Amino acid sequence: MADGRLRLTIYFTGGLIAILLLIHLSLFSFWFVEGGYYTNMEWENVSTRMGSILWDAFYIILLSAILIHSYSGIKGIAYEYITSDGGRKAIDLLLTAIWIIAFIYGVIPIVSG
Amino acid sequence: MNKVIFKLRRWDPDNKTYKTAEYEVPVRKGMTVLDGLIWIKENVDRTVSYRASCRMGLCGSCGMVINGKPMLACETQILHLESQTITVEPLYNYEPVRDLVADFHQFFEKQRTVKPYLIRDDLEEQINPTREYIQSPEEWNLYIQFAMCITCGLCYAACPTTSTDPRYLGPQALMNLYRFFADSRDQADHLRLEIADQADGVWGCHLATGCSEVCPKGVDPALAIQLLRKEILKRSLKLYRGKKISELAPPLPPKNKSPYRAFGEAPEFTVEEAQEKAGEFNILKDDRVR
Repeated sequence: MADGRLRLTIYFTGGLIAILLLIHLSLFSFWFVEGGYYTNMEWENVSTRMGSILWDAFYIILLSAILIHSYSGIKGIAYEYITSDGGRKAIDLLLTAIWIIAFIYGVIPIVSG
Repeated sequence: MNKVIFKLRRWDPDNKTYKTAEYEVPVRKGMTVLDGLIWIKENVDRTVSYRASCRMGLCGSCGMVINGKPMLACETQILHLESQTITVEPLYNYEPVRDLVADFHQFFEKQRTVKPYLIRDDLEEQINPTREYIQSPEEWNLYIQFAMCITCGLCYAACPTTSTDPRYLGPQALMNLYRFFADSRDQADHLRLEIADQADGVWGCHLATGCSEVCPKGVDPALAIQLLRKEILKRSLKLYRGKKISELAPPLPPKNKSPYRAFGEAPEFTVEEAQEKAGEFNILKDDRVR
């Protein structure tokens, strides 16, 4: 059931991204949310969020969901064009390497804040 | 009498190229594209090659692309096309053999991979049947639509994934897989879903539904693929309750103990003999019911 689980992961992370992005956007882009865009973007408020473990966890989950979702999606598209076993293994390796690099690159500013 | 122009896209296997040939064909009411091709072969050009057999939409031999759409030549009436020019091409997504004849080798290879036969663990009963399996009309309805396939291969010609991914199992094979998966007499559902649950299996489908659109028998392979996906996801989420497997009907009165042997001298095999015979055809080799 490997590919079925991969599909479930895509659906699950897709739903998760939609919810978490809505929270993220409501803080940074929607002026009508309590406090408004300008208040939420003030340095004091930003630094408070960056120092909170809960917000760190929030962004690590969002980052992971986006990376897993895109990894699975790009893999699915690439598999349609590259049909040899060797080529597909190379895609898996390449995407895994990109995933690890992107995750580290994304996590560093979250936890260092 | 009306006349139409037949434009045949003919594959030349010697030069490995297509060439277009035009023929003027007299048309009468009720004449099919296959009739037109037969007329051309009998009266104008004896070298034109095409595949046909039953002439009544049953054998599935005369699949061709007619005016851009995969159709059976024997079921397509020329006047219904409402066109003065009729373009006939060999089926897309197949290797051409000659003129309008397509090579179905890959098609049947893929069909073979889905094990299109009932798999059960009561081998003894299958080899020397004594009774029938009980199946309710509701159970029959679950798969009968998919048993109507005549393996004409039009669905492959209409499938965009088949045209880009040669490893994709394709609509006919996956539909056939579902036909046996949904059959209450079959016990190899785990094995069947394992075959379907691959990037080149049900997950390769983009749901263009061209396969269902062109099927001359009204079979809906796209639906079968969606139903297979549903089953795979249900099992991944552990929401599956288990399939009811058909059992043998109660024994008949002693007078007609075996309904099969009552019709003649059916050979009686031992399990070993039958397995040996099956091995010759590469059947049952990997079919272990799990």
